[in-house]
Amino acid sequence: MSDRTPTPTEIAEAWHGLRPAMIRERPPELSRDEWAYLIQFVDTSCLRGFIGPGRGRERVTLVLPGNVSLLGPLLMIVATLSARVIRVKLSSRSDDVVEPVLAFARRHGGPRLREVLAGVESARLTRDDPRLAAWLADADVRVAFGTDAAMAAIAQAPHRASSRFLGFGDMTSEAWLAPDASDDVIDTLIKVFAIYGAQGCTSPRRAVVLDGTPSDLRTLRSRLCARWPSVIRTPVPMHLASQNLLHAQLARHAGFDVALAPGHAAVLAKLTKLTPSPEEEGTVSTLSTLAQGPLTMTMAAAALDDAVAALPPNIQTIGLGFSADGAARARAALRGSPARRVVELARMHHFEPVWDGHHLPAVFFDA
Amino acid sequence: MSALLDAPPFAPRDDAAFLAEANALSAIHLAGSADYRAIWPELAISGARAATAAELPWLHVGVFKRLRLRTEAPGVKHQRVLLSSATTSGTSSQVALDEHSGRLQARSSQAILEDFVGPGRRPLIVLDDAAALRRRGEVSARVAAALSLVPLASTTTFALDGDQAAPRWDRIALALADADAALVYGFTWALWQSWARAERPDHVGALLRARRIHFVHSGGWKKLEAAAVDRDTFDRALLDDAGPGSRVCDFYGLVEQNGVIFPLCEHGARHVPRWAEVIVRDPWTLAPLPPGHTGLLQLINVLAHGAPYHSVLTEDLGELLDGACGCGRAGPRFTLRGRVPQAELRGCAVV
Repeated sequence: MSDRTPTPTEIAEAWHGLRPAMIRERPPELSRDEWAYLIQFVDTSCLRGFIGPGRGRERVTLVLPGNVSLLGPLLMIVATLSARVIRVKLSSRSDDVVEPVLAFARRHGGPRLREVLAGVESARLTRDDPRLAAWLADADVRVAFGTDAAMAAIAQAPHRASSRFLGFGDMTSEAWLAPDASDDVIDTLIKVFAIYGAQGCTSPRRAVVLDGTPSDLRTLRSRLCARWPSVIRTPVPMHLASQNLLHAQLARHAGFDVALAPGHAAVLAKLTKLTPSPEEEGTVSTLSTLAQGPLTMTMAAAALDDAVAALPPNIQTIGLGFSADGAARARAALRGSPARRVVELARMHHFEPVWDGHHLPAVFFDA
Repeated sequence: MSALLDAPPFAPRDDAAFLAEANALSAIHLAGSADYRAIWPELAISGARAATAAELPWLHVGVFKRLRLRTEAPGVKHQRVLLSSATTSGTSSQVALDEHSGRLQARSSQAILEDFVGPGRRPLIVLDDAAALRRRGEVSARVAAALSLVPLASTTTFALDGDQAAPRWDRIALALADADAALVYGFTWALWQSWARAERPDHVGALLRARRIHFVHSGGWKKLEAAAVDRDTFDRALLDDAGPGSRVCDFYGLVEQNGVIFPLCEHGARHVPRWAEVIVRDPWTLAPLPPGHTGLLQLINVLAHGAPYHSVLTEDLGELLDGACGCGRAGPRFTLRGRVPQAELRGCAVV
């Protein structure tokens, strides 16, 4: 192999070279949709957006939880563009999607990609494993997912003064729709939600019908229920169907008006209004942790100003399902709000160079 | 009192009488538990009566891990809270016990167990630590299961100390000394680890080989499966060192169905006592499934007054069996098909 360190663009091209093999074969650990997204992501034109102008930061440590979404492999790929030493802490308890992607790339990648991946080390470690402490201590960039408490602990672990920390903590997202949303918008909402349910930071845990009435909300829920089986044709796994029955009961207990999507595919929990009266506060204002299930979507109708005012402080993405005029009005109202991203509904899960308020090229490269 | 308890557990029953009692119990819980009313608001308004057992309201078994439900009603005097053993999720179910239900549940479990191990009192040896009894206000599932055998016991001996795996053979020898039969109860894994695989003093082995022992166990097989131990191996290991007429009795039960247990008969079926009902449901539609189809088990009984645990949708899979059982017991019967397979939904691990 060449003695010269490949440039970030050459590494992006090496990832791009993996695409024909990816089209032919898919690791069983990744769903068809996840794999299709990865194929699109490793396109050079997409990866170029993650390359910064300066020198890449050389040592990156990723701390990934057991159920990490596609964000895990996506960040690993982004890290390879800049770093020569990448350490990935995987959950000691459950399966993950990073190792299958790594194994596939090592098996099918060209010599350059294999050389780059020789610098990637992954291991199933507990949080108190001394190797993790060592990885965090000498990293130029530390990336972690998890609860706010877990991330605070990782951020505070001994590290270099110049090390950058990128935390993906307890964030939530919303979908905003017009009362007369088209069938396409309804179908998109179903697709976007069904990928991670309420589990991802970019998942629409709440759908808000802007300027809608209680009747609009009822209609939206009926339409979601009616269209769900034709949009998501695969039944949810049995344990999720069972968990949805549980969380429907817990949500009813918390005061929500609840319906189950056909096949127990999701819990659709309706709020009477987005901003509760003082006496309702703490009961129906938000779905308590107790009742929030992995596939529970809350729904509310609200005026635009109220929807902005009711955004939680940890809001990450707003997905807009409007015509161009409606979207422009919502974007204008969201200026200055805590929302980190405002995108079209279909792009809620799209991983982009500006992510969760961080400009990734500026994190992974020194200008 | 439930009139259904007045006949042997596996005698034929009047389904209408069962349904009337179950409906009455639902009405008591709707009236006496605001939590239950919140979960079944439509019934709280209409007071609708189920026309079949399959129409009875139910609670998902996970509700008992999140909420401590209680029903206030005339004659209901709450006692301790029954806690399930540590589960994979690390959260215990909580079931509010009460005096009235306790009496019914004791009669129920005694009648069911007698049907399998025979009547008459004999020494009961419990593979657990007596200290497990001493938690104030709470009782663990393990202890509750052991205590369900107490009505059949002439004496009760707790054979483990603390977290020691080796039983106190001296206590066991003492318990067996003047008896010709005994009951030995333990969680499945404990019975394997601390009895079947344990080395015992020769004199205790001699005592056991001269006595009719009923080994009664409950709890999952997960650890045994991991150790590649099947039911035959398990039973053989226990019976090898026991006297003529000895048997192994495996029962299935949930803390959320306290007092109703489902021992495995010699024909591989679990029989439903006349004061209970089992429905197998399609996980995706909840439609009741006919015999031969695997689905979620819903367990119903008419004994639970202190909290609405009279009708529980479990995460256990089972299948109803058709026709009559070779063991001669009447009524519905089923077989277990394991638990709902678990897998985590991907996300950012923040929910």
